Formats: sequence, structure tokens, C-alpha cells
Amino acid sequence: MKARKILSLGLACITAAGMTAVPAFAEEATTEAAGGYETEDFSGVTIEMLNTKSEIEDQLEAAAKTWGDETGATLNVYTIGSGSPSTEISSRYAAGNAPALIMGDIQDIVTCVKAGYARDLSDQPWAANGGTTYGYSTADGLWSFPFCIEARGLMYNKTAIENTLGRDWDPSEVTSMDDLKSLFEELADAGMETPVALNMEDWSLGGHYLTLVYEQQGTDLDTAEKYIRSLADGSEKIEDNDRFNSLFDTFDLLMQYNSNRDDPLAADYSMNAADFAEGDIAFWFNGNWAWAETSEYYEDGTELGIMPVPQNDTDNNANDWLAGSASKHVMVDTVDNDEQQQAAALNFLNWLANTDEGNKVLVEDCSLVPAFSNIEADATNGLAQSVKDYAADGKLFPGVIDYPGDHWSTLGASMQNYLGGTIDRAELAKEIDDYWTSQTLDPWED
Amino acid sequence: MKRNNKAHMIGEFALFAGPAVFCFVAVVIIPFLYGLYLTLTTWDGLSPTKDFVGLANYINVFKDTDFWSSLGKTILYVAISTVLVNVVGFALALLVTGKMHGKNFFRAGFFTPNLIGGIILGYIWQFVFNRVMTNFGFMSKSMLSSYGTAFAALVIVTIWQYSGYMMLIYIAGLTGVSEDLREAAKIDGCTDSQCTRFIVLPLMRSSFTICLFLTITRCFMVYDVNLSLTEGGPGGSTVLAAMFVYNKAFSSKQYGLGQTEAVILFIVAAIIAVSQAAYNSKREVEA
Repeated sequence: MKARKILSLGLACITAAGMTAVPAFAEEATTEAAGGYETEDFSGVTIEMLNTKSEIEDQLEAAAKTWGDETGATLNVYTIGSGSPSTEISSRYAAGNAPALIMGDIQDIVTCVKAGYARDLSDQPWAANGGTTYGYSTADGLWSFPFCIEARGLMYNKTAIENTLGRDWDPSEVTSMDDLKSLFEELADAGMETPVALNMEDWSLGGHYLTLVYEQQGTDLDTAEKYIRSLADGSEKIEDNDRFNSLFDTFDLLMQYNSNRDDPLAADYSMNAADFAEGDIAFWFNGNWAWAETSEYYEDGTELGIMPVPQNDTDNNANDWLAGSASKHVMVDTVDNDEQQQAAALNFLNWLANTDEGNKVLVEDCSLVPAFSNIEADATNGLAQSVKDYAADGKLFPGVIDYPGDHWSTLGASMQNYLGGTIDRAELAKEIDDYWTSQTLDPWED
Repeated sequence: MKRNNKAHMIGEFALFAGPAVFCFVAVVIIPFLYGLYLTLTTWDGLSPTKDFVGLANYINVFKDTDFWSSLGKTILYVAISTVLVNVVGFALALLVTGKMHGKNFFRAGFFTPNLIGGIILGYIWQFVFNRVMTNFGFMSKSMLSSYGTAFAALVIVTIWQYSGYMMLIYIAGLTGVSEDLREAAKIDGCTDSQCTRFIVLPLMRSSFTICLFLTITRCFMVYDVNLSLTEGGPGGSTVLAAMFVYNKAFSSKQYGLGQTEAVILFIVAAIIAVSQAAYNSKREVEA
């Protein structure tokens, strides 16, 4: 019995076991010639890639094989299906066998860069084609390969809207919340009583909707980050902010016409996807990653797309831009992989960005929106195509990088309470203010 | 001679118990001590440096009202679940040791939920609460969409998961009580329920000790069902202690603080479980 009890604690701290001091940061790599892709011979080199996008596991493994056949290298793709990338990355570094290529969320990359584990990628041929824009870069270098761009907004099912209304419809008709309101009323009169779906997940509410408030303070990252700091030092209160009130006026409207409104916190993600794809509803607040679920119910010929969340406060292009950035980043490890393994890892990234075969993997096989301007192929679905069009025109609000790790879960919980009707807007605003004033953020550097 | 004897004994001990002791030290004692060391640092879980801060984490934990409210909910959850799991488990054991047809089928049936992993079990019940119950008109709203009912849902699933397992231990206890004693009691004029109350229950107290201990420790460390059934929601209201610790260590990247909270959770759970076991085993009766 005693052993069992101690064992349960042992399990709790087992991830920490075997933690060894990490060798010093490897010296700077030699610069490679910039330009396109050149096939190199990496016979006998074995590298590993941590894949945290489980939906593309098969496609990535196939790509690894193709690339391996060309270069003689072996690339093992290790996919984690659930759980956070950071846990996996921590334990791999703790065990002293970090993969050469690590795919993670931006926060994971930032942590690794701070720890001195990542390789500077600014000499890579793809850096100039969008790598620097969408990858994670600091004054010291470029640290990540932007694997794909994802953007969020109000997704629409054009076919469903036109069938319900019996007339042509275009998203450009909706330029304000009032337009959206009259469209909802029109749809309701025509028989679609609840035309929009809202997710109940905290990442969707707190991580995707609420964060629009910060991102749309201006059109660039600096304004957003400065705004967060002014919330943290208490000089700004979110309830006095026009953007907050504008976005939550729209949120109230979405709640009113929410297809899950009878029990909004029991909303089911797959049901939302099915309703949206099959045209039982016309709108869904989400992003182009939802294609993975939507495609399961999708019938060919249905026109889907993404538009910004319509608001009455139209400052800062709020109704013209989507919110989006590179959602998955790949970094190259310098601690547990030698020079040759790192060179092979760089070669694989370059192959993805600068060969027709590699481009096909990203665009066609994985249905992603690549971050690189040299890739011109059309996206494979309407959602991705919308994102690609907005990205091509530079109409994306960049995502804030340094949210505290518990931001989306803590304030996502507050948003759930708001969605469920247990708190009102003033109480929500107070919880947001309190959350930020309890944070200590790195000071802002101009 | 004596000296020699001692050396011999140590040698024998090393030969037979050495491998086990080595494994135990390597996978339990060292990680435990290392975990204690981490509570004295502000490590983020990844960086190569661990800043030593002494007891600052412990002071911070005492100031963290969210942690204590989460721990409070956990204790409430443990208390309710422990009582109900054992009441249901014991009732089932009485049922399937009594006079009924298809005993073995029912024993297997009640035990099956314990064989399903907590994660899958949570998703199954999420579907039941969100879709089945509402669509068939048992209730208008899902139990998972407000705090009180979501908490109740967690307890219900826990009962469903563990009572079959406890039933098995109680069956062993019940069948261990000799028929002679029951017969003697009957002859002395005991009714069936008196026989259970005054003869069988005191004799199978050790089963209760084991079952209570198992339920308490398992419920304190619950994470899988908590994650897949409610995900801590709605509005963060059902985040139990283990999930709170995990989030603190891995989502907030405050590994040192999370580890400190894990230690406190361990101490609380250990005190309750061990004192229960000690109290009950003193009162065990030999036949």
C-alpha cells in the first residue's frame, strides 16, 4: 500500500527524473549559400521530427520518405496526437534526445530560444520569401520555419445562405454588425432560426475571440503588445475600450442567434462542424484548421469561406482583415543533434519551401496555407483559399506572441461564464482587468 | 564469528533484495527527492538554469487562493465519491453473493467499467450527458453546462467506474466470512439483516480498510476523467487539484510552483488516507 502511495507521487514527478545538465549552446553554424534548393547527399544520417499536427501525420510521413529517397537520409516523423507540445518538448530535452526538427506553437519556440536551444535560420533561402515575416524572429536572428498560416474569423457557408434566402449573396454585403443583424433576421424569417454556431471550448472563446480585442487595437503587433502592458499596469480598463465593446456587441448578437443557445456550454465541436458543412447553419466562428472536421461532412460544390467578424466600430480595418499568423513553427535543435543532422534538417525545410514536390506536400497533401510567397498554387478548399487571399493582400492581424501560458484557459473560463449567462459584461471586464493586473510581464522594449 | 555473520547477512540481502532496492531507489526515491528539490526553484520546465529561491514557492502556494479552492473542491469530491462508491460497491457485492440467477454475468458486468480507461470513459459519459440525456428528454439542459450538476456528473462517473472494482474486494470479504458463524447467528435468532450488521460487517472490516484507502487515494489523484468529461469546465469550476497542478506546471510554465502544489496535494492525501487506514485497522476483529 505504501509503495502504491509513493508510486503515485513518483509518477507526478517522473517527468523531472533524469534531468541532466544541458550541454552549452553549440557554436554558430556555417552560412549556406542563399538561393533555391540543391539536393545534397545525407546517406546514413538519421534525424527525427516532432510533429504536433496530428491530422497530417500520414502525409508528413510520406513526404519524409520521398525526401529521404532523394537524399539518402532517414527522417522519422514522431507525431503526438493530444497533449501540449510543450510537455513533449520539455521531456525530450530532459531526456537528452531532442528531435532535430521540432514543431511547436509559437510559445514553445520562444521558450526554446530563450533557453538557447534553437538554430538561427536567417541564412536560409526561404527566409526572404515570408520566413522572416511569419516565422519567429528577434533582433538576433530568425528561429523558426513557419509551417502554415491559419486565420480565424466568421466562417460562412455561401451555398447554405443562398439556398435559404433564394437569392445571390456575397460576404462583401456585410460591412457592419447592423448588416449582420439584418442578415440574421432575414435568414431567421426564411426558416434558418439560428444561423450561427459558437464553440464552447476555452481556446475558442478565450484564445480566439477575446484576443481579437488586443489584436485590433491597431494593425500591428506593437500596438497590441503595448495595449496588453497598459492593461497589466492598470492604466487602461478594458470596459472603457471601444474595441472591446464593439466586439462584444457582436458577440451578444452571435449569442442571440447561436444554434446552441438553449444550452451553449454543451455545444459539441463535431456537431458544429457537421451543421456548418451540411448547411443547417450559415456561420461558425472558427478558423481554417476546422477544415479537418468540416471536410468529413462536406459535399462537393458547397462554397465555404472566412470573413472578418463584422463590427460597428470599423477602425483599424477591423471589418476588412482576418486575424491570423503562422500557427505551427518548426525549429532546428542545436543541442542534441550534430552539425550533419542539423544540415539534413535544414535541407528538409528547404525542400518543403523550394521544390515543387515539397510545395505539393504543404498545399495539396496537407491542405495547408503555406507562408511563402513563392508558392502560388491555389488552396484545396474554400476556407484555406480565403486565408490565402487575405494573406496575399497583407490583410492579417498578427497574433500576440507573449500571452501568459494560462491566458486562454483562465479567461476562456470567464468567457464560458459569459456565454453561459452566469456573468454579465461588466463582470467579465472586471475578471479580464483583474487577470492582467495580476500578471508580471517583461517590460516593453521599443 | 558474529562479525562474519553480519557480513554474510548483508551479502545475502544485497543478493536477493539488491536489484529491487536499486530499482525502487532509481525510479521512486531519487525522483521524489529531485521533485522536492525542484520545489525550491523557479524552473520553467525547459530552461537549462534553475534559479534557487528557497521556500518562496511554498509561501506563494499559501497565498494562491485558486489552489486552495481547487483543493477544497477535491476534498469535497473525494468525500462524496468515497462514501457513494463504497456504499454502491458493497450493495452490489451483497446482491451478487445472494440468491440470484446469473451471478457471474452480473459480477463481470459490474466490473467491466473498471477495465475501460478513464479518458475513454469520460468521453462516453460526455456524450451521454450532452446528447443522450437531453435528446431523450430526461433533462432540458446538459448536466455538464453548470457547476453543481457538472460536479455531480463527475461523481456519478466515478461511482460507475470504481464501484465494480470495490464490489470485487467486498465479495472476497463476504465469502471469507465462515458459514458456521452465520448459521450459529441464525440459530441464536438473528434475522438476515441483523446477521449482516452484527456478524458479517465486523468480520470484514479489513475489506473496508482496503476499499476506503484505494478510493481515497485514487479520487485524490483523479485527472483523466476530469480532463475528458468536463475539461475543468464550465468556466473553470471543476478543475480538481491534479489538473490544477498540471496546468500550473505545464500551461503556465511554472514548474517549480506546480511541483510545490503537487507536494502539498501528496501530503494532504497521504495524511487522510493513512490515518483512515490506521484508524480502521485498529478496529479489525479476528474471527
